[in-house]
Amino acid sequence: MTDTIPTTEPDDAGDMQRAPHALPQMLDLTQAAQLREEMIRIAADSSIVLDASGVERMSTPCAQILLAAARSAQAANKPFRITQASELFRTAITDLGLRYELDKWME
Amino acid sequence: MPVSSEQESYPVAQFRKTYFEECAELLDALQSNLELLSSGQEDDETLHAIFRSVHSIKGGAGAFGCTDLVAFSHTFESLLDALRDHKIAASQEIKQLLLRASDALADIVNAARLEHQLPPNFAADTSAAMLDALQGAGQAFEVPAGSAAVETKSLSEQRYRIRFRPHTEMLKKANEPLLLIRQLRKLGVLSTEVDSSSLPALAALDPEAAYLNWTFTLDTAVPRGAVQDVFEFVEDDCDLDIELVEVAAGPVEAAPSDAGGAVATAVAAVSVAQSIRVDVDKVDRLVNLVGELVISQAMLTEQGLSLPADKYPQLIQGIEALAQSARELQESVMAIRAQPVKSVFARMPRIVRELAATLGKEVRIVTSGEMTEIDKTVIEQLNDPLTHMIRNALDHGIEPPAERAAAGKPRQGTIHLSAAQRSGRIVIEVSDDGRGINREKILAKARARGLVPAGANLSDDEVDDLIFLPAFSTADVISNISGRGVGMDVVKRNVQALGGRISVRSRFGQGSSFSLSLPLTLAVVDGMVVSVGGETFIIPLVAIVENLRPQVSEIHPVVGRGHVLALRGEYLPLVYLHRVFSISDAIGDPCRGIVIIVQSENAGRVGIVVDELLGQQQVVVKSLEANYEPVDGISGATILGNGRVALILDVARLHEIDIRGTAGRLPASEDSRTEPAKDMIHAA
Repeated sequence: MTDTIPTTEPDDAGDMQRAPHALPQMLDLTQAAQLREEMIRIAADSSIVLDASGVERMSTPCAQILLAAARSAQAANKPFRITQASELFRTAITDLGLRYELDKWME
Repeated sequence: MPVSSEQESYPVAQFRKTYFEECAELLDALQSNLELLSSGQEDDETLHAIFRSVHSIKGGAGAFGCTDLVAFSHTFESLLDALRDHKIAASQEIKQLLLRASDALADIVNAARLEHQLPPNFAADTSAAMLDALQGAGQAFEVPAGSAAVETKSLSEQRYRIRFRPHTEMLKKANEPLLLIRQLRKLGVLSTEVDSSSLPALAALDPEAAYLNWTFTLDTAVPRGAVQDVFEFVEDDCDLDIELVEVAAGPVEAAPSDAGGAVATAVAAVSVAQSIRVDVDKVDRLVNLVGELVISQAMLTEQGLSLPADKYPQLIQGIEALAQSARELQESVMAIRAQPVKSVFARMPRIVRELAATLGKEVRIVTSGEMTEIDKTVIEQLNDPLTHMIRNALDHGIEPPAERAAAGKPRQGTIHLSAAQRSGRIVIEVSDDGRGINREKILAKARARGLVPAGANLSDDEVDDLIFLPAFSTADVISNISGRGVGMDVVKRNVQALGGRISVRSRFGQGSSFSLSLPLTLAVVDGMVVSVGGETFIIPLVAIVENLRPQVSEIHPVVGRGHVLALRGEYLPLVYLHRVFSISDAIGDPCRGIVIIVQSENAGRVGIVVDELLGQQQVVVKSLEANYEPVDGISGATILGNGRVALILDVARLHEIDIRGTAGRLPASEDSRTEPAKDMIHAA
């Protein structure tokens, strides 16, 4: 797990079984701009799967970006999932009051 | 920025104090509701109320690190929860267990308040019994720990609605709402609603701008200042609105927060009466200030009377309006300080339970009129005499079960505790169905001690009254109801110091009934101003039945008892005020003066002979006990509109003083009790 967003190798176009994008360990304010860029970049994918298992720090700006990304995907009728969310991630989302909405996309 | 007007910061000690004050109220409520449950009221509302009390105590305990309290109340609460969900039946054993747990909880709260260390295994048997009951019903039980305890921590009394709207730039200054929300969560039970409707599409989103707004509902024991302190460092970077919504009325589950879209408003109806917690000192100060205002107003009114009404109509009208407003203000202020006697009554069942267990007796206590309101100053003084009377009833009134059975009574004795308002006073009765007063024994003992002259022929009431004499309070007691080293004389003295009276009625073999009569407030009284010789007195208006100037033919002498007034077929004893207080230059003939007929609890109707009536007035009572010393026959003093001090008569005592002064049938020591009154009158 790293502090930067790992870029995933472009897969074959149209492949639905793409590997999840691992979210970085630290999702604090300093990572927000980069997270947004990454989310915009993968928005073009046919489906978006985020692996939140390694998240050890969470922040409001990053939660906002993930919510916006989820809504964008929904608007575009694309599958969006957050998988294996760490306890810390779940707690933060709950504390912020976003659990109800994000639960739709969490596994 | 629209923040709350309350800017005070509250040190932790203040939160703690508030918490324990609330605990006392919650424990009282718990006790009352458990009593209801015990008496068969097993409805959901009662069970919820019981649960809520324990739940709230636990909630605050976590915040102050009272681990013993959290642990015990968690077990207690789990049992109550199972009971509430009907997973455990409210059997007699469970009810007894709940009562024991409530007693233990009160002790643990008290120990936490005083920071005393409890014995290591304190209430371990009660805890174990509760766990057994839970396991017996197949209920899972989780020990509260860490965040789990915080999650289950629940509401206390205040509910705040907090609207928090970060300014766009707030996040860029490294202010993280998540941390604030977690701080808030530590204060109580938090429910979070987020409004994410301002969140733009991903492409238009500034990654470091704030788009979310929150509305929190916080049930907490801490004051508003503490809630506001959470936002101390972001005050300039957000819109904050903290609103006291209500006194929390029901358990609110700390459910996952609400929909991300529109904010659901008005979660909790604002229908429940709002209340604020005010330091009693502040209210007392207000009461005193209003008292001074009333005195000033009375002085103005008196000055106004000497003005020609046609020359100063507006001034006189203004004075009248002021008098009206002053009276309303005073009533309103006094109402703030009034409390139901429930707070005192709620403590009695435990005393009964514990003492009954110690004495091996079976006793139940039945209370009524708990919601009768009385001034806080009186309530505070009520606990000791009441406790003593209850203990006496249990210890000496109620017989052991076998003895009761032999006498054809139910094995379980009953103590009735009731409160009611009567003639502007509160009357509290403690009655039992025990063995009653054995008058023969009391009289024999009193004679042996020289308290009653050998030839004296006492009525039943007079014999009963002997138990209030100091000599009966020693350990060597034969009375069935006095005793225990501190006797009924102390109770009587305490009650009299409050401007109250105590009396007893008893039937041998059937029980006794003690009646306490207390003023509703110690602060103001509506009085009739009368003059005797050169002195001015106040007679409380509530005691006065009528005033009249009798005919000579209506006055009859009674040997050794002075005079009586024949009034519509009834003979009323006459009390000459000038004789009671040794005032010269007074009108001695009732046919030339005025007779004021007063009603008193113990002496029935009595005629008080005075020179003339000066008028009615509301007067502010100044305590003689606090400023001088207690004076028999006088319940207090006041300052009149002309600036002079007038004494307020204790009408119920006057007749007794007059009888003893003239007939001298009871102990000689009683005769000298009006001496201070004479001094006082001359000093005034």
